[in-house]
Amino acid sequence: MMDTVMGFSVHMDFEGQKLAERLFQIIVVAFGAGGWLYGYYVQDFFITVLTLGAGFVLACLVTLPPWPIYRRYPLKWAPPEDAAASTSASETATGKKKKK
Amino acid sequence: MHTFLSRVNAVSAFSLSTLAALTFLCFASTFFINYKAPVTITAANIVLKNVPEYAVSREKNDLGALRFDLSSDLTPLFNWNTKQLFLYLTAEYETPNNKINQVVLWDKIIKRGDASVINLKNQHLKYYFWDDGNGLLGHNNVSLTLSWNIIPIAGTLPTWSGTGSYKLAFPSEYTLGRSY
Repeated sequence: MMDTVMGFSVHMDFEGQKLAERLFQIIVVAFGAGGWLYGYYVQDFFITVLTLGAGFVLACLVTLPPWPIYRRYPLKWAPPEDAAASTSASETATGKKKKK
Repeated sequence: MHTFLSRVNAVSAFSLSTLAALTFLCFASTFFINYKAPVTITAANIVLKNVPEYAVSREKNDLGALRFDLSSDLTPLFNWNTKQLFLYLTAEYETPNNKINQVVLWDKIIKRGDASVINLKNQHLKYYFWDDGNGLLGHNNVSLTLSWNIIPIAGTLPTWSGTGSYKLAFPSEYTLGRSY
């Protein structure tokens, strides 16, 4: 169910995904804005593109691997059916929805 | 966002959108710049011949020839959105046949990083100065102008003319023989 890359589990929990998305947006826009201003100052747009590229690389390093900070809120799954035979089927259905 | 590849996709797409926005802002920051520059043109060795232009017909047309000096400092035209300049020297004049005649006599490309101060002496024309009839004989109001196309990194392709032109007068007799 969990996606793996070369045997490593790479998923993030929901809070982690939200944090990762916000982080790469901030990093890319900050490098882009700074690169634009510096490129305007030295009158060379290639500098702007290079700075944005550096921001892209940093954003990849920060948000692509599933660092522990993105896995602090694991989902609490209902216990398996056979291990908890006493719980009724209706209670299981009201539990957390399965991740897509 | 929960798989590795969906994060790769999200970061790449967002970075490319940012690059597009920055490129547009770069264009916007240069859109209102004035690309005029002073140009000094003089011409000499002006000769006029009356020879058949076989590319059009067997009839004899006027063919002008001259040497020119050209100097201008085009450094101010280069900013962070200028990729290269296309310079062209135009002769413009009026004849009974046409209200406006424009003939491109010479051109040059200056790329970003090339020497942007032009100082030409005794330069040959690059293209033939054909009139489409006999309008050049004795014509004393042919103006030579330098214009340029700004080729940008992003945005429009504006055409500007240099301030300063040269008024050219052709002899009232055809030059005979091969001598220039």
